Amino acid sequence: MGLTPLLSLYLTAEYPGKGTVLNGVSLDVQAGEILGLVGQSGSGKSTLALSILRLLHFKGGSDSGSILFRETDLMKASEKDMRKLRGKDISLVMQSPLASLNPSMTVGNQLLEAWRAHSKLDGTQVIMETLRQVSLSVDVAFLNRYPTQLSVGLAQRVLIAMAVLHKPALLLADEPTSALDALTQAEILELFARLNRENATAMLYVSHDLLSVASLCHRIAILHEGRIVEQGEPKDIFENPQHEYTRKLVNAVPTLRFKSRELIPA
Amino acid sequence: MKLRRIIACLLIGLAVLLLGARWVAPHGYEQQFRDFIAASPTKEFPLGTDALGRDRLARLLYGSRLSLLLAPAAAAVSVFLAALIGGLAAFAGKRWERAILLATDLTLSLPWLFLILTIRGAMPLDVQPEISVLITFLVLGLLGWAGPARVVRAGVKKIIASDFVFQANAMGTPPRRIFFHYILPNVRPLLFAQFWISLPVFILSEANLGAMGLSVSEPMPSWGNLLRELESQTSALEHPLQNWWLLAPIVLLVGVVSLLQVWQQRPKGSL
Repeated sequence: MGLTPLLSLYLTAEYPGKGTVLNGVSLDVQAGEILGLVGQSGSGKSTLALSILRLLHFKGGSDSGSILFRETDLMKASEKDMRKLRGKDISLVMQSPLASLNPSMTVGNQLLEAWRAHSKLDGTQVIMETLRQVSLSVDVAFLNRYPTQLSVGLAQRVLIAMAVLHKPALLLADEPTSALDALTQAEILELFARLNRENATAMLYVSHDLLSVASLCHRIAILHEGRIVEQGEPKDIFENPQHEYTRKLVNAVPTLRFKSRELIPA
Repeated sequence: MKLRRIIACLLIGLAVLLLGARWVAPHGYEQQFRDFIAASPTKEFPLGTDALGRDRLARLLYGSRLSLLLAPAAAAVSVFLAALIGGLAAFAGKRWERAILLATDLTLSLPWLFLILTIRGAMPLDVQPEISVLITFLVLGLLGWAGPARVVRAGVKKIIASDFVFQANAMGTPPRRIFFHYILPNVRPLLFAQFWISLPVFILSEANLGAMGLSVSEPMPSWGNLLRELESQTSALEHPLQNWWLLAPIVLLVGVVSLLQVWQQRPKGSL
């Protein structure tokens, strides 16, 4: 610590009719760090992620404050500059993988499209490498598939590949595992950890699932009623929660009622 | 879908037959045989002749060809207009959208057939046959946009608000690419569906107009004016089985429209 954070924001956001969702949220993400953002449904976690990309108006919201990314304020950046930044320096993985892929474009072409958004060079080599990195097949039959021919887990991997194609400094993951079954979820979490290790990609990992966040993240921030009520390392959050709401969250985490050894017959 | 394939073969076969009308038909559609007025079928005239001594089979072939070429053209015109107007409504902001929706609702609530009757009726009846053809189908095409436009608007709005378009924005994809690679390809199936839905409607509209003498003008045959001719055959039609050849245009019209409708019954779930 002590270094200038990669991302440092102070945000207030609201939707017409719904009122203020984020009320002076203040967060720092260090380079190479995975920060988990936890809060219950509707607490404004996704709003925060969209706001960082300056895409909140797409969902009808408006925001104010400051978003310092590499010491430039994105709030003051032009739409043109933001477009250059989206997908290249900051990218997004959303929670509904199948709906996030263009139904009339093959997997290969979607990856190419993601590449061409920021480069005029031939992207084949990079795409192949990235596919390998996210443990996807590189053969033509797979690349010629359409999104309807993919499982949710595969689709999420494709989206992650698209998101890390340009080796962004920051990856925003908005509940990326909430549509997945437990096994696929574990695989995707492992994949995020690997991408963080290998590419030194910093992540803002948004989720309502405290347990998965604790297993992946270096630091956790708890969002409640539009404010960050507590931040700290997973260990501290679990063992010594300070805020009333954090205590509730930690207590709500399901635990096994028996010792795992009992599962194995004697 | 075996049934659909059979129907497609039938329709394509018919299309080939009609396109080759010049070689298939034994006579020209306006050639008169004064010695054979209103004749029954013979080897020379397989479907007999009409009151002016013209070969019914030739008239049926040429007439079907005209109707079946121009109904798709009219459908294409109306779907094209619908794409433009519906697309504009979806893209151009609230005020335009409201105005366009109002115009659409107004157009939809107008009594369609009477409107076409009025417009067609306002045109001189003694225009050249070729021009009457053009006017008839252009009027149909220009008035048919409202229904499809609503569907297109709803479809485009849904695509604009979709997760994959949002994702494309989050990847920094330029707006032009989003339009051509993300929105347009996903509207296309919608437009095709609208085209196929409006096709039989236009075929029937032309037939309706023709039955009232407001479609293609003589001597050029179309399904419309072939049906009109039946009006003067009431005595013959009291015994339809003895005069079966007179019914050929109706049978063909009903057959083609039904085949088109059945062909459109796609398996559930696909667009």
